[in-house]
Amino acid sequence: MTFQTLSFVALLIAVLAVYWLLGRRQQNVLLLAASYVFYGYVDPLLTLLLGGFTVVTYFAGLGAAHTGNPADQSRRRLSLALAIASTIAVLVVFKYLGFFVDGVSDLVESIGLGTFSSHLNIILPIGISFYTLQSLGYVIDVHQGRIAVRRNLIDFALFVSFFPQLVAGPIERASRLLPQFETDRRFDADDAKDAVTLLLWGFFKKLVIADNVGVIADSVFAAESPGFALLWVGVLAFGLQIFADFSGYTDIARGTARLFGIRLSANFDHPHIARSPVDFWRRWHISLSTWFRDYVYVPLGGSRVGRGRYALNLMTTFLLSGLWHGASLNFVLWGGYHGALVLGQRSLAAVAPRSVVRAVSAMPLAAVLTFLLVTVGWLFFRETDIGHTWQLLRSSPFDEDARSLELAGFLLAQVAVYSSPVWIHTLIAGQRPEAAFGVVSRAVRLAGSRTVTATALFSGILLMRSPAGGEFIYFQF
Amino acid sequence: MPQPVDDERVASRFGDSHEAVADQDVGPREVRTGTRFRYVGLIAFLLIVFGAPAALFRFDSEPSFDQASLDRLNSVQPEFVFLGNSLLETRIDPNRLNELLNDRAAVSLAVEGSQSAVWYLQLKSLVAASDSPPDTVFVFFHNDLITKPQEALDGRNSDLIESLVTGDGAEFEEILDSSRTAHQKTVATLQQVYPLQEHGTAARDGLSEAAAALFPSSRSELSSRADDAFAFQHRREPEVTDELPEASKPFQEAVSNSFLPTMLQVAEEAGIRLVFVRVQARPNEDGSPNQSESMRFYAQDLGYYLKANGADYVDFTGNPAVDAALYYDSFHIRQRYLLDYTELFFREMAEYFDVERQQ
Repeated sequence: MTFQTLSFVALLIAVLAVYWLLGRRQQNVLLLAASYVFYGYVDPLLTLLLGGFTVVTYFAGLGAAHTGNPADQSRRRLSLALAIASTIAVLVVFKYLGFFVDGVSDLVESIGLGTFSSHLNIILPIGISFYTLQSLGYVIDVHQGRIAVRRNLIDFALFVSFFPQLVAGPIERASRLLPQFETDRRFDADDAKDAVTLLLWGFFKKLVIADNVGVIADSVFAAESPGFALLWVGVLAFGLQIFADFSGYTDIARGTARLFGIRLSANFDHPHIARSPVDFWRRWHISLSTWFRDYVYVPLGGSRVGRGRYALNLMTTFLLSGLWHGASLNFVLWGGYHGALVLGQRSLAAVAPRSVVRAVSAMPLAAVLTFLLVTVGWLFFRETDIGHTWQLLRSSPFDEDARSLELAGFLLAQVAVYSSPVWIHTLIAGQRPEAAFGVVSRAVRLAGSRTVTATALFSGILLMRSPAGGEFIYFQF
Repeated sequence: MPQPVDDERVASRFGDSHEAVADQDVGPREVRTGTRFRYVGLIAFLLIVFGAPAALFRFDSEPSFDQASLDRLNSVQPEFVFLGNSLLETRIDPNRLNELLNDRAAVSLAVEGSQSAVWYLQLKSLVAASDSPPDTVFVFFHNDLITKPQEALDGRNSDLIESLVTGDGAEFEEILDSSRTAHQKTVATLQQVYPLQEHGTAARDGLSEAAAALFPSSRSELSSRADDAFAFQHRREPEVTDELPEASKPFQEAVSNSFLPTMLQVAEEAGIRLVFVRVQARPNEDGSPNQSESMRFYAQDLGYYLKANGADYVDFTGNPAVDAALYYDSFHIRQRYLLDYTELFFREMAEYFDVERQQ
């Protein structure tokens, strides 16, 4: 089941109609049942995988818990190893096996040892990349003593499968989400208004911005040789599409959760005004980047090591986070590109005087430059055929004539028009709106009461949603 | 490396601005009154947010009929008209066909992404309603699309459909209602509740117009340039994964809830010969047809039905002249074979084009 279907709306209304009449334990049972209905709606077999993984990590958590008895060390280590191994096994089997087998097949063929059929036809279960990391994070936290082990299977299963964030995050920390399931929730009318507004903003971003801008991106990437200007308009369109699509999903998830009195993490913090690659990663897919920071980068040694080792840790983390997106070389390339940007920034910052670094990062030009660098990266993310990526990169601006430049400008203007609500939102709600726009920001604040905003968003969805709407991009990961 | 961002820190106008009022600051009676007031506020909020848009465009005039297409048919007065979607666009080049036909005219009304609801309306409201209806209408379709009114059921092409409906559209709605699932009925009801949705194309056109205002060329010129740049012949070869789609229903079951019987009736009343052309899915490497058993039975039954009802049926499935190399994907023909296919079609369908009379 996906958010933009009537089935989801029906499920949400049905659950909400009962939810606030129940006590906490019954609420959790209801949410758990709804989560399994949500997940198994298209293919009930998927719930077996979800349930099986939940049981494995539940017992791994029990085994990894501190008991105060030194003799339990090996059991704790074994339990942690079980959680890590089962996570890797599930991801390898369902996500990466086809990729590796295809690679071996190509290699065998390229060295003249014949061919073999490598089509495994394994269907990627939706949400698997998200709930596996979330569950593994829990077991690691329990093992490290950062949180107490949970013995209530219902609460734990709900933590793994909570439907608003099950299929595309945010990847929640146990320390943040589990306590919310373990405490009484009280209906708050103002909170419900916020939740509805957040839901509408999420749907608006997905159905109006992402789907309309996505038409331009899809057209450009379907073209054999779009030419320099059209290519980069298409890449820019995709960058805005994926932001509106994924942050839209996140807002719908957060709005839905809030209707049940649960607060999910913000996954985005206006990444378009990031002042540097490092700053970008503080603002983009925050729940994933912090997961990789805490469970991969820091255990590898982080930055408290020698220069070479630090570079290796950083690149390993970024390459893995790229690979997490999908079993394809282009995602690894994308991860590597961002790793190189961050490494480059760190290296420059290490040799430049601190005052210069501060002055540069305060300049609006830093945000523009970061935006452009990030946009270049979206080419690697979107184009799955590496050979074609190089071919596209070879297109020259000097081959463009006035007609094609005008067409590219026209499409760019359309992208700007459709994505303008994102920029306006950043002006209104951004933590560091540019001083020059301060007056505009205040004026919009005055005009934008919640009811007016929500009504405008809903009207906008009805009027402007793209007829070419598709699934959320991050569902494929 | 990234730092966690607190939920509240990124609180925004779009949903995060609320900070709960601490109830302990007021007495029990005030709490009850305050809570009640907030519930009333929530209900008012929901009524305004979801109710106000229902009033927009409620009393708007009917959408305008596609008179331009009818005028075009009246001015050309073609002997042959083609209906279909992109499968037709990639197979028949009307210019080449007109050359082959010498002084006789053919017109293609192909619409990318269209299905049987649009074809029925084009036949009824344009072709049959023209001053001099054509002799023959070819309808290109694949699989079991000719008995699936899917596009009209799930709201696709709604603007196009609106522009082709004449009269009160009761007959059209009746056929749709018999096919609608509960989900589709809900969607149709929502469309009636929020007429605003019917103005999507106009709104998007308005935005596009605003974007075009920045440039010397007109929007229509820029749009047609974009259409050219992204046309089929400029697209990359897709990774083709041929499937063997099953017929969604047996033919006898599907036909009663489709536009097919009404199409036949319209054609008969207007004296038009209807020829249904089932295009071939890309054949297998050995040249054998690529179709499932259920689809084969469906095609057989469709053929019997059409013949029994006075229409012609031509199935290109298994035609050895159309081999796999001609295909761009599972159904579309490569752009470079457009003229070849047009000529092939002209030859294969010589009896319909009355080639002997022409020579």
